[in-house]
Amino acid sequence: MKKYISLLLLTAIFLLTFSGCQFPGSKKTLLDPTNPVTLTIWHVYGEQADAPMNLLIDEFNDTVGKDKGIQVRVTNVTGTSKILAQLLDAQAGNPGAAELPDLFSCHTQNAPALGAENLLDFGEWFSEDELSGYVPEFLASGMLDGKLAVFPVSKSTYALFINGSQFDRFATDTGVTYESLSDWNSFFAAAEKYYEWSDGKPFCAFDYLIRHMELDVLSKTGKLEYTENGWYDTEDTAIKDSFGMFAEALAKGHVAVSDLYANTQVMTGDVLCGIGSSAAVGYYNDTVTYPDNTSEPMKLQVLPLPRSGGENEYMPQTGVGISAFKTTDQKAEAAYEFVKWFTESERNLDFVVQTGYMPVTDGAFEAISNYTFADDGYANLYAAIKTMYEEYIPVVRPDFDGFYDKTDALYDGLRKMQPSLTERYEKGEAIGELTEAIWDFFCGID
Amino acid sequence: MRKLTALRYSEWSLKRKLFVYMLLLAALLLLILFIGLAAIGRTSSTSDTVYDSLELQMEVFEKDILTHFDHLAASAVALSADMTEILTDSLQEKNIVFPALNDNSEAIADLQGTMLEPLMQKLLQTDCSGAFVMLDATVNSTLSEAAVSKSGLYLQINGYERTASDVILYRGIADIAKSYEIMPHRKWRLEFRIDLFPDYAEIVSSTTTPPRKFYHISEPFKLPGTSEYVLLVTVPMVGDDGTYFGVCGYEVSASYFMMHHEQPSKLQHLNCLLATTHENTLITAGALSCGSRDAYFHTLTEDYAILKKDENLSVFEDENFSYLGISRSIALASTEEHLLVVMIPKTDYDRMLSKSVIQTVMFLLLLLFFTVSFCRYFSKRFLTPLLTALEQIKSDKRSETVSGIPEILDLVEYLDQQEKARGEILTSLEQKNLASENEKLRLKAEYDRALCDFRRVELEYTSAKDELLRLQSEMERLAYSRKTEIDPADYQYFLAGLQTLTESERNLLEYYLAGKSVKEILALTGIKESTLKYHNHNLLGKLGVSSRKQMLRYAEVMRHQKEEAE
Repeated sequence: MKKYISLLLLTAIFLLTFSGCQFPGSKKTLLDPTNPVTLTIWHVYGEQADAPMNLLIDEFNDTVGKDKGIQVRVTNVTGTSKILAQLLDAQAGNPGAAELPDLFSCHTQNAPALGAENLLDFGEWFSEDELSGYVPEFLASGMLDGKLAVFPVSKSTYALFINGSQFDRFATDTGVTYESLSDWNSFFAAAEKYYEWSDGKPFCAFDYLIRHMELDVLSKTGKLEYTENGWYDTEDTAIKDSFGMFAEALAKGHVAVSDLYANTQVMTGDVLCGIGSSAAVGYYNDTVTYPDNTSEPMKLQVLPLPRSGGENEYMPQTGVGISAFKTTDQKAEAAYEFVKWFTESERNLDFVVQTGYMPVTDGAFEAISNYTFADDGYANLYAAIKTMYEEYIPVVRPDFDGFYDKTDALYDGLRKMQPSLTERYEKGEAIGELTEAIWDFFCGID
Repeated sequence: MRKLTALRYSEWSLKRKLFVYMLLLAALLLLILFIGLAAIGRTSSTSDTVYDSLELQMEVFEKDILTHFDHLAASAVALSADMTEILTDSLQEKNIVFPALNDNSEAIADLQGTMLEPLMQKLLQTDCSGAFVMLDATVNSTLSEAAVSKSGLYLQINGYERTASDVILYRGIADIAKSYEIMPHRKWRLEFRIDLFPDYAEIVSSTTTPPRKFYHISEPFKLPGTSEYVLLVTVPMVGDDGTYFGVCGYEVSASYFMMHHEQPSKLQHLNCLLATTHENTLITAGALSCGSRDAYFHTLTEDYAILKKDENLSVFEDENFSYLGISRSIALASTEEHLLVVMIPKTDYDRMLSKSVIQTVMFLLLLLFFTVSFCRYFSKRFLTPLLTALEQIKSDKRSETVSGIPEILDLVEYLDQQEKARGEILTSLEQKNLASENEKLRLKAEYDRALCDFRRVELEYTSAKDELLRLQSEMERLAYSRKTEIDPADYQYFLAGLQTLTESERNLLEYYLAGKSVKEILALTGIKESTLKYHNHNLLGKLGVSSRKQMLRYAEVMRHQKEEAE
């Protein structure tokens, strides 16, 4: 009998040797450098081959990935909203849908649509000691049903981006300085001056106008109420007052809701500055080109968000994390290894400073002040971020069902309304009526 | 000598024969396997296998590239015709000539507005990452760089999706594009710069050639303001009157090339490049590359020296890394020469080589292992019972032989029958032998008896013959004595004297007549010699003879006379 068992064991060893398999449990890790596991990833960090994210993935594949047996392959680069739509298509098996990736960029508020049960819990792989190095608020923002389903790899906030070349001329002519843009009142005053100086061009384009109303209300009242429908409490006078401030500037044409991203309007000279995600820094052109084909260097200046003047100042905290679909333990381990490597302090800092994000580890945050930036625009951005990180309170944006459909409807409506409102204002219509018209539209979104 | 004996086949044990036969069978199977594999072309070295795979991949890749760029060229020619028609119609509608577009921003905007949607549709329908129309006109000819600045539209597809919402504007009027919900590229400019446009002068100089016979495929170059390498397929736009309108065509970016030309291959880390060479150096800057579907490949960033590994494969190496592959020149357009390279990391090749060697060794070991195992198994299951049965058959316990081999059982039964038949024959023979032995003993006894009789008769005959001879001799002697020695008176006295003899003397006379010697008589009678001498003296005296010899002669005469008388 023993001979038969020995024979079987020997045969099994030979066959396993031929097939290149290993005995389960023969190693602590499920990864095998001789038979690498491939992880596909959909991300949002730039489609060009030498985008920082893609270069980091190459670096990972050539170093840790090669040693551990992991290869990460980018199969899609697009925006978060498209990623979500494509993931849902893929999950539903819709015709023409792509194959589901292993890793993907994801907003926490999008994760429930994919099914929390389908997502890997990174908390099961990271030790408490490892997690202790990350900013707790960022980790908390990735929790879904008690699972760390969206691992923070970078966070963004909002900032004010300015066409420095034109601002210099504007400043020379009007006396407006960058300090004039430190609070909303002086900001709108400067906007009015610019509108006049530029013969009717908006001073600033807002990517997420309504968020600034939220932060302003929070700053002035310390609270922000939402309705059961996931919209703002329009009975709240603080909300109406704050909204009125932005609506008035809109109606006067001093500011605008961006076409999609303010950077495109800044680069064409349509507006002097834009307020949007800090990650937009990579999308700001180095040149401003005007319709007559004259151009000048952008000389990008970046300032903290204007202050509301309340007890506290608030800053948005946004940005996607990385999620992974639950498939095999081997892929889970590979995802953990990649995310851990990607968010190590030094690498995380290198990545975020090239992409306009905030790092997710305390160590990386501390190292920002000593970082040498190759581009003045990025240096300006991180100076602004540092100021806000130290002086503002981060607020996670709402994640109600349908909330972003409503904000999109609001922005679309405001874009369409603005030309006529400005025209009416130019014709002498009372600004109060115009802002009331915008308020009514805002209330009608609910 | 012992070794020679070991080699003698007839002296091999069954076990050894079985082992050798199995070994021969394994070798034969191996030989047949190799012959079979050779017949179907499956026996080749790792180098050959890799070369075959790469050669096949090269065929696929080359066909892919040629087909793709052929279609692109055809599409570009069609695009040129479409855009030329739109342009001509637009000019006719505005009743202006083409040169009048210069500094006419309104007319240019209108023209771009007319061209944008068809261009976008062409872009979405064509296998490319971008489409462009560049007009030989500018919105502001007063600028210092107006001579190299040209208006037009350059649309790109952003990312991996091919929908209208993914189209962005790289060059052109942003407001026109925004009206179609097309956002400007992050490195957007209003106009093209022909000094940055690859081979622009060459393309312009070709405008005398009918469009269908000319298209230009550029070397990959870095798209101004971006880090992305692209390759342009360009066709000039020429009006019916020969007016040069500009150029149009399609862009293939490195990212698109990578995605579109993913190769169906099982070679992990396959790297297929469309590149250029310079003095045996593979120039990777600007090379468009792709890899295997669902597998990762490393994007090359350094130039690689090209070395010959063998007649088929080349080594591409820099200080840190080396690849193994094949290359082939390809002419995408009539004038440009590109190099197609299909390669894998040398570490992969080394791994395949090691795996192949290990597999071969393991295969042979496995074969040997199974041969030995099967020998042992067959020996145990087949030969051992046979040998055990034979041993039992040889022993005196054959009747107790338990075997699962029917032939052995048949043999045992046969031997039993044979033995039984032999026993019967033996018994019969033993009986016959016994009878024969008895007969032999009887005959021998008879013979012995006959021989005894014969000897006795012979003795008697001899004795009789001797007696006869003696008697004849005696008769002759006596005949002679009578004539010469016997005195009748003495003889008469002798006869008389016989009557006087005592018993002892008579016995003594009888002994003498019987031929006994003195010693024999002394032994027979048990008397002393002196007594014998005394009796002899009396005897001779009574018989009147002087000696025993005379006495015996007279006695013989007397016996002879008696016999005659009878």
